[in-house]
Amino acid sequence: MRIAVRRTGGFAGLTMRWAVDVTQPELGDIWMPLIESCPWEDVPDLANQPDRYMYSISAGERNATLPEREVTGPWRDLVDRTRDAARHDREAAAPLDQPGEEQAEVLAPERLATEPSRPITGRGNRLFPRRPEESDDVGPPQPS
Amino acid sequence: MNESVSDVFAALVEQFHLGQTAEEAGWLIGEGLFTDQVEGTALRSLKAPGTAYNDDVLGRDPQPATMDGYVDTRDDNGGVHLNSGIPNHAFYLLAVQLGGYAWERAGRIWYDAITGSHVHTDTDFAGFAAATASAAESRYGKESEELKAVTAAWTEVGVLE
Repeated sequence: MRIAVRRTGGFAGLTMRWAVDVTQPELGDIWMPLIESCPWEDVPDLANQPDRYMYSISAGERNATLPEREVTGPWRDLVDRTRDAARHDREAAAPLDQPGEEQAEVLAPERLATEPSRPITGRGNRLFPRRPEESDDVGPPQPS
Repeated sequence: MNESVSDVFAALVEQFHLGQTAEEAGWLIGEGLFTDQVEGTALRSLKAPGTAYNDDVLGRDPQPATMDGYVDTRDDNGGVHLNSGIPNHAFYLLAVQLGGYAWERAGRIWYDAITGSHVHTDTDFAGFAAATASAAESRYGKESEELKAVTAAWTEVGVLE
């Protein structure tokens, strides 16, 4: 089964995609209970929240679109697990294969460790560089 | 409109800070935000919406520049960062048409529009275009170059016919 998450919006307006193809026994043991605990048929229709994320989540034939603040509980678990699994797949495949169209989706989280709807601060990552004034280096040794 | 106005005033602040005319300015939002591993120069371009990045992971900058490319979607809370390319480009066209420092006339018209009585929470592109035309007329006159340029800019992006 293919499980995919597409995240749009955020103040940067960048779209990120994560996807995994899951087979038995992992599908039945781990993923299906999580998928079935999500209220696919009961997605609230909320007012738009510009600058926050919108998530499109699919698992096989099921799909749902929901705003960031509704991605809680089992939805949050499913999104996080999909993203982590996509990242893991990417790391496992990296030494062997050249990233293609399909793998590019999976490559996404490595390049975006910082959530762009939040202030861009801290250590930086491969997508957004570290800001020099926020270096967490301790600086040169102090004379004792 | 909210997202576009944010971009317009961000660009104006940057241009004022750098002392750039409309012709000299880059009209980019978020320039230099990406690392060199991303194929792109910025998050958005007012000068050429849809050209800010084209990356294997991020995809291509999806912004339209005119109403022909208007995106009807639930993504991005209704495509607020996508369709903002249209009024963004209208502002760019106005600023370049008027020339000189964009904050002096084009920016003044936009500011008059958003602080006047014609723009509300539900104002659409056409309503905003009318508000800027009204602002240009009030400040510069019915036969003014500024009003003509405002109308021409909104017409070019397909908001006014």
